[in-house]
Amino acid sequence: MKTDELERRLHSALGRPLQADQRTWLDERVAMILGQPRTRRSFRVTRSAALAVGLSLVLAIVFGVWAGQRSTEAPYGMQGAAAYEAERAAAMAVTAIPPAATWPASLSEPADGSGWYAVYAGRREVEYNAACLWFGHWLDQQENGTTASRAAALEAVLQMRAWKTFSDPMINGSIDYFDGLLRAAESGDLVPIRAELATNCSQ
Amino acid sequence: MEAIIIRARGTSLPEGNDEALALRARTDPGAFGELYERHRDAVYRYLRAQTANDDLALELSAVTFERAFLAIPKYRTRGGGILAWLFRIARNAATDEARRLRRRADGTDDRRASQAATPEQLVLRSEQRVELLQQVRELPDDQRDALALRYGARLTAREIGAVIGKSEAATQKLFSRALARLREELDED
Repeated sequence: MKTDELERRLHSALGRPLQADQRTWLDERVAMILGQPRTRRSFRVTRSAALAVGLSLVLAIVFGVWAGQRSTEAPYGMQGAAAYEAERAAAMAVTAIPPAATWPASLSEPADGSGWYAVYAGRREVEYNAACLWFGHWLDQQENGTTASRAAALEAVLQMRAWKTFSDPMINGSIDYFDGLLRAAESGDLVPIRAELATNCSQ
Repeated sequence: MEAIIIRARGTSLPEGNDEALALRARTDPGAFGELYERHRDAVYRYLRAQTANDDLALELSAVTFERAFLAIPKYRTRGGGILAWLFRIARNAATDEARRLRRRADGTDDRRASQAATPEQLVLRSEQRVELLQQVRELPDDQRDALALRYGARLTAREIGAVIGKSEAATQKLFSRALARLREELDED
């Protein structure tokens, strides 16, 4: 089965909206919850607050029908798989990785469809993977290398700060987090790097 | 070229708006009601992919919003914002339910699950859809989560990462593995 067909079936199976009777049931349940005290202590909802909640739910239901209709229209305005693959290949050609390291095979596989690909997504994927390789190399040098090789590994790792993925806030909301990892490397703290490798770099 | 990220979301409302609403909902039940309205369908769809039938997904959706309502006075903006916070609650509700079902070692499934298997309901459902949902549910937990958040809740990779505690790239890898496995299983059938 082709990816496009699989994605279409998944959208259809998992994306089926609430039916009207289901929505009514859920709305009533949640309206009841909102009308109850948040805790079992002495908090009480006034009549006017309950009325306001009821009214806002009615308005929200009307709004929901409108939003539901809108949400069915082209939810993924991103690049296609071919553009993604091309950007990925171009980025691999110019992005440095540690000596003797190889790119993960997943970076050469056909892309999974068109749903995921924002601008720079290919480059970001490559730079994330390269970062994993460099962090692994840095850790290896800290544990097994010489003074000179440790210094070289640190210098290489710090150069990632200039990479687009880790410097442009428009394409990565995790710059502060990544910068924290580099600062950990600068200070010789192995723990955050190990954690990063375990959480985000395992295949 | 200027970078643009287009958000994939069930609604067209900007995140900032969502976050302001969440902060207001800490003390204003009306604001919580609006928050509920914005994310009701996405939470349901996510839970539907995690559970055996529509009724259970509905029940867990109500549980999710009840827990959220009780917890939101203590809500603080952190990584992933209100969306990740809400879906983490939904995820925990689904996990609790799965544990509860596993504890029933006698093989009798949940009452609602047995209800779902009535001939009348089976007739109403598309066979292909039920089969695919079943195959999604049989994936490893993390892969199922990724697909449910992607196709059910319509979150982006970054948003999913915020829910499941992984980077965007790791989330995309997870998603790729889930798709590959699912494709393999479908091709075998």
